[in-house]
Amino acid sequence: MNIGTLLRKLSVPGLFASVRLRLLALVLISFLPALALFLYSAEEERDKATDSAHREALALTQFASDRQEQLIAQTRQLLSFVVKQPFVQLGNALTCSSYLAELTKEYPQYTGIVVANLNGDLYCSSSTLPSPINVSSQPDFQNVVQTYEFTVGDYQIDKASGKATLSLGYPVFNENNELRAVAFALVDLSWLSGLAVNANLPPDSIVSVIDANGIILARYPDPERWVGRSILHKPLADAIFASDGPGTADIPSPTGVARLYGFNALAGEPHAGDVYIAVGISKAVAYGPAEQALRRNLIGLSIAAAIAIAIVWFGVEMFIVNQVRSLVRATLRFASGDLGFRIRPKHNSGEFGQLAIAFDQMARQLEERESHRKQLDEERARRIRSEIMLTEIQHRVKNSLQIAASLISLQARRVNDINSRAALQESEERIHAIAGIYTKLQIKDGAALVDFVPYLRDILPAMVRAQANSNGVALQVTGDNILLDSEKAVPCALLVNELVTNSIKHAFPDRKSGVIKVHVHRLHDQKVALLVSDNGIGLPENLELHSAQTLGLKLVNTLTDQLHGEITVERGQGTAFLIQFKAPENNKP
Amino acid sequence: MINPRILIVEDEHIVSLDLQEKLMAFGYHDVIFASSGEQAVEKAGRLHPDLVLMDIILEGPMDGVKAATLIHQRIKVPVIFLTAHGDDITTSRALNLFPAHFVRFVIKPLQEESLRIAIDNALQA
Repeated sequence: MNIGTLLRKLSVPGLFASVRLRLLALVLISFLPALALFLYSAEEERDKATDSAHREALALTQFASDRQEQLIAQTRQLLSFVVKQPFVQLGNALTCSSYLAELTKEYPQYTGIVVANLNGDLYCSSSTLPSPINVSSQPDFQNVVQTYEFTVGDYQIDKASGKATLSLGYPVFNENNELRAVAFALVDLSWLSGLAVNANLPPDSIVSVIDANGIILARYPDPERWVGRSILHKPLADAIFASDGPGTADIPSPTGVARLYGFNALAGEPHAGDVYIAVGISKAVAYGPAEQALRRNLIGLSIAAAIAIAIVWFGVEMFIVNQVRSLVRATLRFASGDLGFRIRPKHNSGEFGQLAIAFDQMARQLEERESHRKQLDEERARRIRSEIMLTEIQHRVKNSLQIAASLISLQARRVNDINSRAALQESEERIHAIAGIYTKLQIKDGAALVDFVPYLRDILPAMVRAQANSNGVALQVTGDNILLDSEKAVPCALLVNELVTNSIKHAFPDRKSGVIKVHVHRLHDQKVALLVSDNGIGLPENLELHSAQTLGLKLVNTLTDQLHGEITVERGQGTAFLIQFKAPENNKP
Repeated sequence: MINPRILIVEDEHIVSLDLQEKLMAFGYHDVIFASSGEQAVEKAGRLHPDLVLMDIILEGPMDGVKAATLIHQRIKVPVIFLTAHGDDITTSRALNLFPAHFVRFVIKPLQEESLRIAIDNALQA
């Protein structure tokens, strides 16, 4: 499970929504490996301390065992010397006792040295006997009498001194090598207590010597309290008796001090293995350095964690929350319509710097887009206003042209002269030609344009029909779709009107049927060609177009000049006028 | 139709006079006039013309299309709109209000021939 999944599983809804809490959780999690390391290290130190305590205890028990062995050997040597003394062999009680008393002063490790005759009566003692003592029933005495050899007896508690002792017996022979008596040395086991003191054991340590019955024979400290007491079936005794040789045990103590024990059998004669020495070192003391190190580490870790939490708490405010708030403020201001607002980060590096830069870039682009949109809206509004105004102007112009046409029409009806009337009617047709342009005017990209061929198709048939002698004349209008602006369209319209009127009036004098063709197409170089032709009788040979005096042809020349165009006339099967002029090509229908 | 009555609705009086002379030249002598939408509705309801020549932009709040609509609600008379617009919006607005065979359009400035054909067709319909 990764940390993210863990956090999700642990998260209370909303609790980890805060960046600060998330970072705090991460910081605390980052301390977990160190905590685990410290705990593991402390456990290892405890294990080492346990091993060390066990080793120390075992070493001490081994030392005690060795020391006991040495003591037995020394005692054997001492007794072998004592039994050779004549006053011992002769049974001189006073001298013997005095000698032994001096000897025990010299060897304080013995609680007493005595000599018993073969009846078991003690006749010589290092200490004064309050009453005669017979030891014939003692197993130690019997062993020596039976084996004639140095024997190591049982460990026992001296009733008189209350001390645990080990009796060592040695046979006394006369000059004939006959057994005469048995000498005993009682070894004081309290040296073991001294051993504990000399070994500089840690505080709260104990040294216990127990026999096979679990009776405490010696103990350090508090021997008075413990010697003679049984610890049979207690954990320590169970551990010792369950082990074949030297061993260790971790004995918990629900009420007292828990200790780590090392134990060993005290060396000696074969049956002396029934006595054991155990050294216990307090766990608290043994673990002390490890526990102290752990405590120190945990305090250090806690301080480090507290500092880290404080840094995160205030650092998040300074480095994250403030910057996030700044971004949120900027976003809100931007959302409220302040498109010119920018964060302008002090530093360009880092995620927040980059985020702020990205925000500013986005804001700039949106502002530009908004500005562009407004510009387009304004342009559209302007265009709509222009179109409305154009429509209004179209209407007014056409209305005015209608009034002018009506005036001419009214006038024409009141003129009796045919030529004059025809002239007025031609003028009216010219007005119609101009008005037709305004009917077809359209706004495209801000320019007023006329799709010229459809205009011709609308206006010319009625104009032809209005001519007096147009019966039988067919009209054909062809060409490309060419948009002309009104400056070009009006002279073009008048040109076509004049040329078509001219054809109707002059090309077909015998009133036979004829065809008038109007064709418009685009040439290269933005030029437009306007061709008006008929299959009539053709222009008179002597008629020069440029010097013609009729109003119609004068208008044709003038309008061609106005278009900065060129006009050519072809005379053949009828007449064809070709006018070429420049008109921008950028507008296509 | 013998001597049909034609109502000219036009706020420009010169144009109206020219129209009257054109109609008389075409042979239509029973011509009545109105210069506003309200007046046209009133005269149409009272004098029952056989044809209405209706300018679209008129003086007063009522335009030609509205006046023609009100007239049509009272008498089923064909209407020729005399429009300087020539645009599709006006055409479609008028066509949406009347059956197609009741409506015709003639673009201003009026060409005599176009007007004559439109009138003849409307009266024969």
